[in-house]
Amino acid sequence: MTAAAPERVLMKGNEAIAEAAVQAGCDAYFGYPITPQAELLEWMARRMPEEGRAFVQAESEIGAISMALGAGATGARVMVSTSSPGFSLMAEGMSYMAGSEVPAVVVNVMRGGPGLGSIGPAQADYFQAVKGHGHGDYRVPVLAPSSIAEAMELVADAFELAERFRTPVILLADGILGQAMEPVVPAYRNPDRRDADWALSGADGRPPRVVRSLDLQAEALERHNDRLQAKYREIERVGARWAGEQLDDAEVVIVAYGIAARVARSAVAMARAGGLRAGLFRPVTLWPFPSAALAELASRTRAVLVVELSAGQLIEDVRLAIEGRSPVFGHGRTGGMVPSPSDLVEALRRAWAATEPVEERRGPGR
Amino acid sequence: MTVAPVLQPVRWTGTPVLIASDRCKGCELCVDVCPPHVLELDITVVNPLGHHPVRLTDPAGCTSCAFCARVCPDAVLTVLAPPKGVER
Amino acid sequence: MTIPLPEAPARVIATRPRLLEDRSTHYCPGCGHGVVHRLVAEVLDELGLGPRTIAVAAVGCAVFAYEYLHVDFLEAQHGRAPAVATGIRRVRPDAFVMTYQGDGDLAAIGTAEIVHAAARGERITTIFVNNGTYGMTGGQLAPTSLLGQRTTSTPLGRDARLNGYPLPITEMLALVPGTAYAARGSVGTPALIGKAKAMIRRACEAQTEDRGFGIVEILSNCPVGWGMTPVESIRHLAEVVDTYPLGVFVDRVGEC
Repeated sequence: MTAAAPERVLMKGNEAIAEAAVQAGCDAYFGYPITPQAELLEWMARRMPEEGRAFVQAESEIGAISMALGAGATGARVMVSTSSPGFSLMAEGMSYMAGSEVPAVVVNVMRGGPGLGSIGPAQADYFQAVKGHGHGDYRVPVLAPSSIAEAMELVADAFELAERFRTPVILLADGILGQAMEPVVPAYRNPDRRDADWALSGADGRPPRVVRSLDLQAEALERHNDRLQAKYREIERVGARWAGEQLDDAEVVIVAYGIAARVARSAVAMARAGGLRAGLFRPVTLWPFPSAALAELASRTRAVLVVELSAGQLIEDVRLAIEGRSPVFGHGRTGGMVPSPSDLVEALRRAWAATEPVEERRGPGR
Repeated sequence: MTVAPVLQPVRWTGTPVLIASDRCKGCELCVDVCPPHVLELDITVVNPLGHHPVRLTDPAGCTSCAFCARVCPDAVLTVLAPPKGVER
Repeated sequence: MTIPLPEAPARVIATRPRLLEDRSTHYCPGCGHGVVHRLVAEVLDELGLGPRTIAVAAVGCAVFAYEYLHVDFLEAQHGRAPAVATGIRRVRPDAFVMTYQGDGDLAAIGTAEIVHAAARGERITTIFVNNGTYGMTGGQLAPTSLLGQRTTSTPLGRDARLNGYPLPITEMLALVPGTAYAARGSVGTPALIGKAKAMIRRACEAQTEDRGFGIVEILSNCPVGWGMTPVESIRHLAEVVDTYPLGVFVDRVGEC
């Protein structure tokens, strides 16, 4: 007797992320129409009222992130979604969330830029997302799925991370992931709720609570910043996440995330078939960045090739992590263009040809 | 035969306006609005906020209208009136 | 012989409201914010709303409102309080949700948010303190500054061609079907202060009676921003009324 195979469902990325949020117990969703994530908004418009939960199409992305600040400050499980230009509008709101320590999940389905750009896929908001996005000294965990199934998993992880550490969390996707359809076995998760003794609920039988980020006394604001920094060190200690493929004997390694990693996987297979020992290092958390694992890997690889749908943003963090242990090359496309696996194989060959074997390297990174 | 004592209603000796002098900012909105003009700043005093606080110059002249308390931005003034049946 | 009657307790005609913290404020001497804070504290207490209020503080002189009003508070970005309040409203059905905003916050940077909160008929109450200036940042031009008004960014006086006209934002909001109550009061005299309190109460009832969005604009003074003594600035409110007439623009609270 064979066990019944789990049922696979064809799901569109935007809708899969939305449903994962609904199943994860999302209490409120706020959004605004923008390509290529309008389907996420539309899915929530139908599903949230069905579940008796809050849905608002806001007047702008500024309205949406502000509504999320309000709902999140009461301890609700909140999600917002947008694409790159709308993400820019949310910067101030994210800074307030970080400073006030309000949890929320913010989905950015990246598109071509800068400016109005295009509606094609891109990874050009890396700096924005990973370096915090808004003003002030803060960091925000960034989760980067590279498949629809992984995106659904990371939605639940994002809510959990947000509530555990009282921080906004960014789920960084792109236009292809949002629009594509893939067969998935939906595995939803509704993370447990935590006590929120900081949340606003009305000062009934207790002293009033204030959720704010303002403090005009320098000493006090410094202490607050120290606490935030300690929190970020704790998040880093909890661990960066990454996935590796064929790294054990790899001579040249591609570092890529999201949709770029899908192309890279095909390129690695093609390269291997042609006799080149390639591997793939795929960060899943862009912050905390898996620096230690990447540095260790770089000490035993001949070359690192960073592939991204941008003019070169991830590559800076890769160089910082590797600290010269291995030469780093970049292959980027902008405007909504996506490299083909053969483009990447070509780049891998060039990287290989321009470098020497690890054993012959004199000193670190030489 | 003893004479029954006569119960004499007292005149009210309470003050009609209590002032939290330490909170007063000397803005004079109450001075300006007081109909019988029984409020003025006490220039012999400087409170911890650095202002001359208001004082009641003539308690008997106060009618407990509470205009002063209404216009005070700092809720410095508490206005009292005699208990019912007691005259000022 | 005469025996004095024991004295009954004096009647308290007016005192600091319970929901107003017993501390001095950072507001300038004579500033109308103090009066409005007092009125809000009185109304919330009289309606029994204190324990379930979640208020949203905006950016302006009253950014510190949370130090003075004894209720839960959330600090919003400049202009965004109505959207922040919407977020609270949608997940806390039992809360009483209010915003406390100045004219720069509500009628300049926050115009989209207040209009759309009204459009949604959002069950929130907005206390709008209009003193025709950006007080906190030193007295710059505000959307509600009067024509001819000298401010630090209109040193020659507000000119219609250069700086536009004063914005009648509350009249505009009164046109929106979702607005259940829109009114303008003033702190200019004791009688007007009493009327303003009644307006605040009615605006709160727009929410508690589930009628829609409620806003009360209160003309207030800014002695320092206007370059006047507190008493002069209160007198000046009689002229502000020429541009911003007092009254109730829409009141659907009583409707079934």
